[in-house]
Amino acid sequence: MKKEKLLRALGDAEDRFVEESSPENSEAVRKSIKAQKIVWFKRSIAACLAVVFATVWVWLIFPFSTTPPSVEQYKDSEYYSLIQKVNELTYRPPRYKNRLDQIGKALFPNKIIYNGSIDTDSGGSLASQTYFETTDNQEKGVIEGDLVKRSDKYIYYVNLEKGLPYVYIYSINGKGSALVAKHKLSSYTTNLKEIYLSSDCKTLTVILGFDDAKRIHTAMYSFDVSDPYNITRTNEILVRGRFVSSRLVNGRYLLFTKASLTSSKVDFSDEGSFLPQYNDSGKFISLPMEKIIMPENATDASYMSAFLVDEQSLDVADCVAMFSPPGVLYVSEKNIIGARKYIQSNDDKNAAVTRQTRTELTGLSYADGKINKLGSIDINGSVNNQYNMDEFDNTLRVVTTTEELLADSTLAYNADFYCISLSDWKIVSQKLGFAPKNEQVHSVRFTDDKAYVCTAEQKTINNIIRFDDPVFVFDLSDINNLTFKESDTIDGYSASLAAFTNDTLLGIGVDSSRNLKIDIYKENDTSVETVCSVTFENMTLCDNYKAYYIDREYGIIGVPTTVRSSVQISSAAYMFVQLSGNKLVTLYETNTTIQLWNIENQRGLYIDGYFYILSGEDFYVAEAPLIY
Amino acid sequence: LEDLRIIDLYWTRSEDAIFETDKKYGKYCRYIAYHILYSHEDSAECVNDTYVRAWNTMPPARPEKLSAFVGKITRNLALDRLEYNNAQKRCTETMLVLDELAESLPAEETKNVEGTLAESIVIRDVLNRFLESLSLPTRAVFMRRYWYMNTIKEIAQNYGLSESNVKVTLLRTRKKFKELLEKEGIIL
Repeated sequence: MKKEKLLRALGDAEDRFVEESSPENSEAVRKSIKAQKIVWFKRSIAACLAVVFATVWVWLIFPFSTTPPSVEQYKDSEYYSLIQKVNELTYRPPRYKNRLDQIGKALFPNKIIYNGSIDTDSGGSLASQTYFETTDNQEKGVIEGDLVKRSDKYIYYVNLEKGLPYVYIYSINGKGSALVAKHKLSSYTTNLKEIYLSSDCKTLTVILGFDDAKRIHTAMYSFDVSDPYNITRTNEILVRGRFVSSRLVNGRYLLFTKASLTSSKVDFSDEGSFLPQYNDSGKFISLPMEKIIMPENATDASYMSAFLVDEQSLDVADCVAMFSPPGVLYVSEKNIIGARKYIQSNDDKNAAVTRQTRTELTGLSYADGKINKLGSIDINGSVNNQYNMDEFDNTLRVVTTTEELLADSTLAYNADFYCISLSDWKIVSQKLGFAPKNEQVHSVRFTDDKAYVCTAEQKTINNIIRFDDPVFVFDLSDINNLTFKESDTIDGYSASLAAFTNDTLLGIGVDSSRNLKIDIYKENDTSVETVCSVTFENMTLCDNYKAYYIDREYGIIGVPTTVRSSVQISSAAYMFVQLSGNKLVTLYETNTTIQLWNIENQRGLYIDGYFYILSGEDFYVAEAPLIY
Repeated sequence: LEDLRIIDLYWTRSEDAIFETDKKYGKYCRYIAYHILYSHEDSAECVNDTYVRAWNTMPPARPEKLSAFVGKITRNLALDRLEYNNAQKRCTETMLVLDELAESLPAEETKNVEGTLAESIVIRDVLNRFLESLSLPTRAVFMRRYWYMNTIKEIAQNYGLSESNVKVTLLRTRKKFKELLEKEGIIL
């Protein structure tokens, strides 16, 4: 009976304990309980707040991961090596150490960094009897697309209206020329790129760019334009990536697109998000791994895809993709040369040159209907555009601008000339540093046995930026003995060079005040002399070479421009200039109503005594007062 | 009347002492007795016996707190009556209280406190130290359960607590009490 004993023992509790717990004193206990509850409530709130604060603090200071996510789960994929590389290159280390750092810098930014990209459009078209080439193609037999193409009867010009692509078909009939038909090419908002007209003038092929929130596609549509009043779509192809360039060579299109991979859009379980693809019968096909060329020193998580497409059926004959792709493409009748620029740093901090720009040239052959890698070579410097490269007699000729960061943190520029054998991809001959010190290459043009190079140095004199350039002519008749002649220093520089009429060289560029300037050069026994030049005050240069019209037969040059009033650009214009003897004479100039940002979409043609200017929705025809 | 005046009445052997005690603490004593015996008749008899016991004790006793004094008498008398009654008459709630208290009993190997007087002194000391160490709400809950023999529900209602809260409080307190008893080497 121990428990009874204990119960009885409890009766010995002190009187004060008995009294305070008696039913009559409940109120005091209740108050005490209430006070205790308040204390506990406060403690709970404080504890909760402490937990919340600690959690938030840990969340704020928890360091962001600085390692790329694992792709181990794809190790059985044939693309595993590619996936690893894409994963590595698309991974962007966090800009901030942790969320606290991120919030702090968002609230108190030091500077704003903006990496924008600029999209470009271009295009062309035609249909009917005899084909006339309107584009000043770099290579004979390699037709480049443009916004305009023509036959002997019709001019085909494409333009966007409220985001929708239209083709305008104009009759060629002097002052009686008129809009024959206008057709919508797609019901979707697109980026209009280029058009081609088949040699029989019955098929118009249009290249369009479609951007949606997830992916970017490039489409080629072919239209039967036998009847200009009633055109019908015949074939199409859709490929992944943003349009880069295209060519038409011997009945096959070469279509180049580029797709940039970003970590936010790459999903390795979805091939379309990281592999080059094209649409075949409504289904996207990924390029097999063996068709993806990966450089050893990949620096850029993007592809340049090259599709070889049949001109008639638009079927894909072959395709390859170059990972970490070239920025500049040159296409000869047989080969594609890609130039990929990259920066090479010198690990030796005491070296005279700490960093330099280099270019990897990669060759692909396509003449046999299959695209295969030819070889590659690494050279110093970088190329401006496709005109810096040329293939002739199985030799690749390249002009580069060299750029070196010296130990004293100054930049040193110059120019190199290389002749590279396409048989073994070895340098046959070279002329290094041929330009005056610190001059950069601004334009290049090759003919069979000559190369024209314009270099210029930017100088600031009395707070005004000036350019002075010489023009070089290289004699390439013996590539083992490269020689060149140069001009005296010329005001400004030529942004585009082209062989012109009567063995002259045409330079379209700017003077020191950035006014549009056209130069005609001629090579003599000892140097390159300026035959004549004309500067157009208050007019600006449009640097889209496809917008120039060059007629070597009549010595006519057409250029789009903008007209400045004092410091403000006020209107667009298109003008025609003719080389007459040793003079450049302006034949025709008209202000156009095209949007100023769109002036490079203007085109001018000379046909049988008339100038035709296509400018957005406007069409101008004027009698050409040629000087004979 | 104030407690001192009532005690004086006992000391002067005035019969008004019982009348005044009943007037002031009758209800309280009945409350204690009823919660042990669960019988109004037995409780009434127990309370009457309380007054007789108080009359016989004062003098010489002169309690500081009359309520506790008479309360303890009532409780002891009620427990005596409880022992007197046969087991079948015991109420369920009292059995529950006893069972709960059994949890507080120290393990067998603990040394017994020898001698009745020593035993009662030691236990009283331990008990009061234990009660002293508790917070007022915990102590009140403990006392209401094991001194006043209130039900869990009554305690909860009276103090504005949930029944589970009362149960948990009691469980923890019993455990604490057991630890103290073991620490002091007490076995009952």
